[in-house]
Amino acid sequence: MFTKFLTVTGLFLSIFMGEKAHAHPVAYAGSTSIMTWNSKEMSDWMLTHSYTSKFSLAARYLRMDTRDGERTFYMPQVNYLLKRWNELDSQANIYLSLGHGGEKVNSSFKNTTGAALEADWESRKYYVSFREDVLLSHKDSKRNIYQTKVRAGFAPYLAEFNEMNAWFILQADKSNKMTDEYKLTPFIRLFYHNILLEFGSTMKGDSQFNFMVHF
Amino acid sequence: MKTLLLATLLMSGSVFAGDKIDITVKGMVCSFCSQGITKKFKEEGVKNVNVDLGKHLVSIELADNQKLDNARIEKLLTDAGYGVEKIETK
Repeated sequence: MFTKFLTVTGLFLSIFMGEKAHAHPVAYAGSTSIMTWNSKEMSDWMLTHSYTSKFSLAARYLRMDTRDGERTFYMPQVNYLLKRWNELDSQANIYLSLGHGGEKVNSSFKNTTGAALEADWESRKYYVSFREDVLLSHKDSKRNIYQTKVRAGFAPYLAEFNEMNAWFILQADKSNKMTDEYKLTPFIRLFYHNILLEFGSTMKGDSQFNFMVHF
Repeated sequence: MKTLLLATLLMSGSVFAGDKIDITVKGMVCSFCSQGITKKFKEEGVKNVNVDLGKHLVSIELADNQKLDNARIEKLLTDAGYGVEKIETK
């Protein structure tokens, strides 16, 4: 998995290097963030508080329609910025997230461990990111969930600090419990000050809506 | 001589009330992610904060009777997640 991560990230970096816009799992020290990703088959909500610019704690709720039926997870999570490269014209990050919680099955909770590795590189014009998520079921490894998400985007114009920012983003994602092939979703991202919205639609017409705010 | 040396040490890297300071910031490429910068400086009590992404510049104007040294400025920007390239007092 880690080799795949390095390969894909390295590929994207090599394509785009030389020329930012993502809601990171860790924001500025003392900030609180609400992030939600919603599609027909998934709702993912996260309330995060960043204690430092490298460390945050989060409460996560995740509902997925999978081949095993609808599955719901509740999980406290730790997010850590492993490495950041601040350059004049760009920023790159690697994050690690670890969580341990429960999957609601009927009226009981089954132990579940979650982990995610995320990398991104951003300039004012271009953006690429890669994320690998795992949700490990303690009782039955056949119920383990693996998700991969790759994104690339560009800004059609360079917006200043107090202006509305717009981005076009293409997302490719795959989950072993949802689809055998990568699903492509184009997004329009808009953000203004501390509020970020994304509207997307898959090639099959399934809509997606993502929302983020930090304060 | 000792007094002069001590005064020089105390003055270096410190700015005082009414000063305007330009800070060249590394990694500041996204306005959504940069909101913490204005918040951190406002919490510190500065009078004005202006962010120019194109020039990689954060310009602050200190409030009356406010002191802010370079180490503190760097700490505020580090807490916001960024790096400091240069600090210039106008």
